[in-house]
Amino acid sequence: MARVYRVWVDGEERVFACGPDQDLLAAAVVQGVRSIKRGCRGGGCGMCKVRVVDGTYDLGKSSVAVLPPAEREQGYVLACKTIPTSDLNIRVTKNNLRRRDGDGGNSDS
Amino acid sequence: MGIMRLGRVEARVLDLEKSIDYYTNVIGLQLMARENGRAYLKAWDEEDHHSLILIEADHPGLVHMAFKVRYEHELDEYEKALERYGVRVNRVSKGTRLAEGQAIRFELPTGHLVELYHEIERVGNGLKLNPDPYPENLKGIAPPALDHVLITGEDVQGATNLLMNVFDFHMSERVVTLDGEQLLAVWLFRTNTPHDIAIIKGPNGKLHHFAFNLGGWNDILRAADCLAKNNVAFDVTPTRHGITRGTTVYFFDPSGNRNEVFSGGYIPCEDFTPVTWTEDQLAKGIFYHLRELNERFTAALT
Ligand code: FES
Ligand SMILES: [Fe+2]
Repeated sequence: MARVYRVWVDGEERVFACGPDQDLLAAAVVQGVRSIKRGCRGGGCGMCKVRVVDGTYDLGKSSVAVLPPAEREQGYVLACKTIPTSDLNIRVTKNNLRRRDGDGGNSDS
Repeated sequence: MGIMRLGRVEARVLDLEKSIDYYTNVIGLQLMARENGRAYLKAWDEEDHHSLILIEADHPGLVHMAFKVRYEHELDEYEKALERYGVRVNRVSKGTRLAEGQAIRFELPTGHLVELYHEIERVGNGLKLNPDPYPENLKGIAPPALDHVLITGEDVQGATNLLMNVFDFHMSERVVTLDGEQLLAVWLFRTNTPHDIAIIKGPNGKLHHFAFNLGGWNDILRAADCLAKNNVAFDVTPTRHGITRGTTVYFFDPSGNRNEVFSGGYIPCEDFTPVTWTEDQLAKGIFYHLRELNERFTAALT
């Protein structure tokens, strides 16, 4: 199972590699993919939220406050807690931060 | 008399085992006890049973913060004072958590739960008779004590008024709008450190960070080395705050709660004249060298 997967960033014409047991965010950061925002790296802040359009992955413990169950069903993930188990196609949406909290929990304006 | 210090912080974590490993081996706190899903930890120079409580939950953040008062009877006095001020107060009975006596609990206008207590089991620091300056076998960063907490909320002014009027907190620093009309952030103290609690305008009920204190700049650098060695996620590498003049490292625990190690700053007394920053100079106030606010610092909250 330990292999490198390719991750396409939808709309960015960008591909990066995600090594065995490497999370999506760590892989993106070291390869200079800046469109995925780097926050706490602990599944707590929601800054790194992206949507997996295609592919399979394991999602580690993630805060329900920033990633509620309904979003998980739609393929939203926290990149810092996502380990690909296939090649992935992901989408970074501008609204991720704004969507992430019912209480307006962000100040990225 | 009154509040002596920030006595404890209770934090939610996503994975209790991972968090205990981090707080004991990387931060270097002592695990005092585990009971009913909670872990109780203290820093080496603290004399009370614990200053940090961890509890597993489906989202991280702050359960409560608590200030220790000098005398037990002050709980009754503060209960009355809070009620006169229009704040509802609840009693937390002895035995609710391990090693703790009773507490009074209320909510700040920013939505955070605050407790006041006096009684807690005294375990000591083991350094009271012909002592060495620090104990043997410290692990990780090993800060001597919990230092302060920074929270976010909408009503910074309301929370500040309550803390200053009811508990006689003193203001060390503040950030105001350019016209001086609105309070955007405040640093308050009861000890003679620059802050025991700070509040920044933002979403209600959120934790920005809690901090442990360190002796000096060399300890700050060594703490950052220790964090890097353990692959801890940094927010900000060692630098100086304009606000408080302290030196700092910001980083995240395994659940995304921001931690800080903080050192130095001036030693304010009760007659300290607050320092004022205007909002256009906030970046200089927070990161004195770089003078840039990064999005992560303001948006990553738990
Ligand atoms: S960076 Fe905070 S949740 Fe991923
Ligand atoms: Fe701080």
